[in-house]
Amino acid sequence: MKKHTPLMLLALFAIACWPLSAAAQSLGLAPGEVREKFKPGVPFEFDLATSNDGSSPVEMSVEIADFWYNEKNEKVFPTPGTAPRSAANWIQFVPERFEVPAHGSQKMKAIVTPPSDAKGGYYAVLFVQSKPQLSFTKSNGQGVFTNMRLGCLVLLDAEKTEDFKIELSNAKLIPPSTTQGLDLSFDLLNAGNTHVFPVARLAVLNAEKKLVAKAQTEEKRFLPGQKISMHVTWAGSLPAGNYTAVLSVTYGEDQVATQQMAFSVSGP
Amino acid sequence: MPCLVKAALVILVLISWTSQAWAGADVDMVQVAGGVPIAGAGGAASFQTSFGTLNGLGIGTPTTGVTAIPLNNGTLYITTLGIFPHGGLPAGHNVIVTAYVSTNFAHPAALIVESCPSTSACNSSGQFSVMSTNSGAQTSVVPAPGDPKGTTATIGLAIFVPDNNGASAFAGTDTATITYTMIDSTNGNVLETDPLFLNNPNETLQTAVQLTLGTATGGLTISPATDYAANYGFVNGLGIGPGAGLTTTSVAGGTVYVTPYLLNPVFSEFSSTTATIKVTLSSNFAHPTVLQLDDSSASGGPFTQITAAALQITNAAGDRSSITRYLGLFVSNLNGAGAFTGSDTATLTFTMTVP
Repeated sequence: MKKHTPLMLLALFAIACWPLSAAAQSLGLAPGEVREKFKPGVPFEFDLATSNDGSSPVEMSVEIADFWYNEKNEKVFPTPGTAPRSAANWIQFVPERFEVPAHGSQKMKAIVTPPSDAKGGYYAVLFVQSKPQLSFTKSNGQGVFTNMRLGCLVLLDAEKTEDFKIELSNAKLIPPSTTQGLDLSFDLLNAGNTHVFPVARLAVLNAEKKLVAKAQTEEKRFLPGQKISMHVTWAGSLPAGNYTAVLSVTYGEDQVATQQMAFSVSGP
Repeated sequence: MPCLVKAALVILVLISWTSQAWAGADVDMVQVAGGVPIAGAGGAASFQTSFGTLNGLGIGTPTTGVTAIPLNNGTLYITTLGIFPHGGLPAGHNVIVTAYVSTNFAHPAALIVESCPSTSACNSSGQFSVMSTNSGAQTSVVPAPGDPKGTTATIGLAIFVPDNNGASAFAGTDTATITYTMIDSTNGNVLETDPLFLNNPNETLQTAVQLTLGTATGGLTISPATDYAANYGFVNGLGIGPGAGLTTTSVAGGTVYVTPYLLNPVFSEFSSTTATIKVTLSSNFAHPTVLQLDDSSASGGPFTQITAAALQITNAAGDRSSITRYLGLFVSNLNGAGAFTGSDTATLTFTMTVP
């Protein structure tokens, strides 16, 4: 009996420890977004890696879909080949199915074969997903099993074929008051053939052309044809007087669109 | 003839000696066991190496000689290299070494150079600290009493990649230069300054995403295996006797058995500071009129049925901000045709994308 005590203790220790390490699992993917320029008709490839921080091996597979947006400007992932500017059917994954060891990682390769007549931007999403599989037999109740998908958005750009163009419209400026800050809203349309990541900057000049306020937005992704309302806000206050707001939107590689608006701040 | 051979030999020796002296290198930077390869060793005036491809979550296999140490706010990529004094030191003198980042990464919020002194093992994150960028206040790398001629001192070098989302996010290639100053420990004379270029090749910084599904306090245990399973055990349409980790809520037509669970999104180097997480019913119960799955942000509801169409849990998930969510299993109190007793299973798929 004494002989078995260490083994029993070891077994008890293992049982006690197991649920702690197993209570949660993590799947990771790098990169989580791919932005690549390509030469039309010339295949290229890029690497990805997935990780499993859990204590059990995870079977994984890769699914490729189109990446576009709906009427609410939400991103959607339609069936390959169905979205405008689809790139999903250009991409092959090696390997398509694999097992990631516990606390390990797996490298993958995406091979992209763009057609020779490609112009502008093309889009897809690569989903790396764990395989749904029962982890233990259920015989006495209702079980819910889950798997995870991590998406890598792929934004491709046929080099030297890009047409960068944005259109600003419906600009409305609400001057700062005692109850709210300055708010400049406008609609931005990506009228070009490729994606842009515009940043809007606002500069406010007083009657002496002196800079008295500035603010900017975060970078935002616009796919071709996408129109989104943007806001630049500034939380400060201005004395009564006449001002000029200068809106500059930088986008593309070195493009800038500007618009000026005069406004007044009345006294309290 | 033998004289000619001897003369040629002498000239050859002189040429070799002159060549090394011309390089002016009395101290080399060399590769050590387990460290990154160093180009330029053997009398060069500058050295090159690389940390390869990096990301804030430590996903993937680092380049040879580099180890990724994931932290709770990014990943520290560490390596070791050797300082090898081989000339220029009088007998009994040692070399002490200081260093600073003489040309920082163009994206210093995304890539941060750290250093570990020769007095540490340089194998854990706590032994590294941010390297100075000031030539007038350099970081001590080989402190006194220093390293004697002919002996290699092993030092640590690291790049910290923080999560860094938002305006300062960066993904792409970048490079930096670290200048090491080799000093005679006895008289304080500077023997030489050696730049180490992190450009062989340049560092590549990637975006990365990670999702963790875990057990919430008081909730069902998330299963450890290939998938994440929550066993609701015995349930009934009247909500009688729910199992541990479950609460019940009566709704029209039956009962919802509710368990909390955790979603922990982590992402790095995205211009967006938020991620989107959606859930879909990828495999339904065999008896969908009796059993259905619901989602809610609160234990008491309101509940939204999870179907094959993607249901957005959030489009504003923050990096490393754990989300407590409630999964409801609706059990109908249906009698007659369509009633069901027995076991059944369904599968949910959680999808995360950034932004």
